Amino acid sequence: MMQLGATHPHGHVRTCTRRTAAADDGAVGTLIRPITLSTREITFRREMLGWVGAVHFVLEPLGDDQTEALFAGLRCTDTVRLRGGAVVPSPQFLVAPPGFFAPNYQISLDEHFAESLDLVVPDDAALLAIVTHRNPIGRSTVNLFSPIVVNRHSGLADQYVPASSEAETGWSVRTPLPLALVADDT
Amino acid sequence: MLTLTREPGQKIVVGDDIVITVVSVSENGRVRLGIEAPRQIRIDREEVLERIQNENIEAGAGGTASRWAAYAARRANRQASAGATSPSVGDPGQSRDAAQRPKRLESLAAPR
Repeated sequence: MMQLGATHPHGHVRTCTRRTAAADDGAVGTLIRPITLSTREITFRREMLGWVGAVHFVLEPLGDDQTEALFAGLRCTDTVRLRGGAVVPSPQFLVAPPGFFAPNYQISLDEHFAESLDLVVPDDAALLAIVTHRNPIGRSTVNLFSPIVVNRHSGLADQYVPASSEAETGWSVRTPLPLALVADDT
Repeated sequence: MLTLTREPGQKIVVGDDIVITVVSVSENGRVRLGIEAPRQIRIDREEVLERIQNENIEAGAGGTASRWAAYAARRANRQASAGATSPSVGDPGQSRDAAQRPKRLESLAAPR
């Protein structure tokens, strides 16, 4: 198992893990650092669930201030189909580090999954949680149950599907966004 | 679909290297299965996969990223025009440079 994510100094620790230096000095900002990859090009090991043929993606920053820089657009550069057959050119996804939504976020990758992305140490991996926008915006959610895991050196990626259920992991496919982020829209 | 009748403890062999064992059947109808397969074979609960698939489709088909960018721009505009620099999640205690905000809003809201 490879533990990813960080403990929060005041947060509930879900599974045994080491405390990071960042957690110890309370520097929350480093726990939710922007997505840092050596490459903007991301290649899925297999097509993204739900999207037939979606393998090649480009990660595009959405903003340049502290909050919005955490969010990025993950744009598919393949022409893909929904399973019903409808063609969708270049679908785009909104992603952000899951630690932004849950400072105590943590996930355990099984060994084979980590190996399949050439992940040797936890720092080889970057996590991207997919946000689903809904109207009104307060109904928007983020998928903390099955994040996209990216090898930050090679850009090789896959969406992690835990063997345990949402109830068992404590993370939901549809986690409400923090109120502070969505409360002020009309 | 091939249908087989098995009892607890009995197994089904699929291909050369997959073995499925009926571990137990409870009174309320729950069946526990043990599955032995090579590590590269993915084994998932169907309803879990479907939930993720459906969420991925909704996230990508709804133009989430561009709609979010537009929302972020509206939000920033309001904060800038209100002169407020109220901290939001992600930058605790740090004020924003409201003067800089309007400058980059158009690029944020621009369709991709």
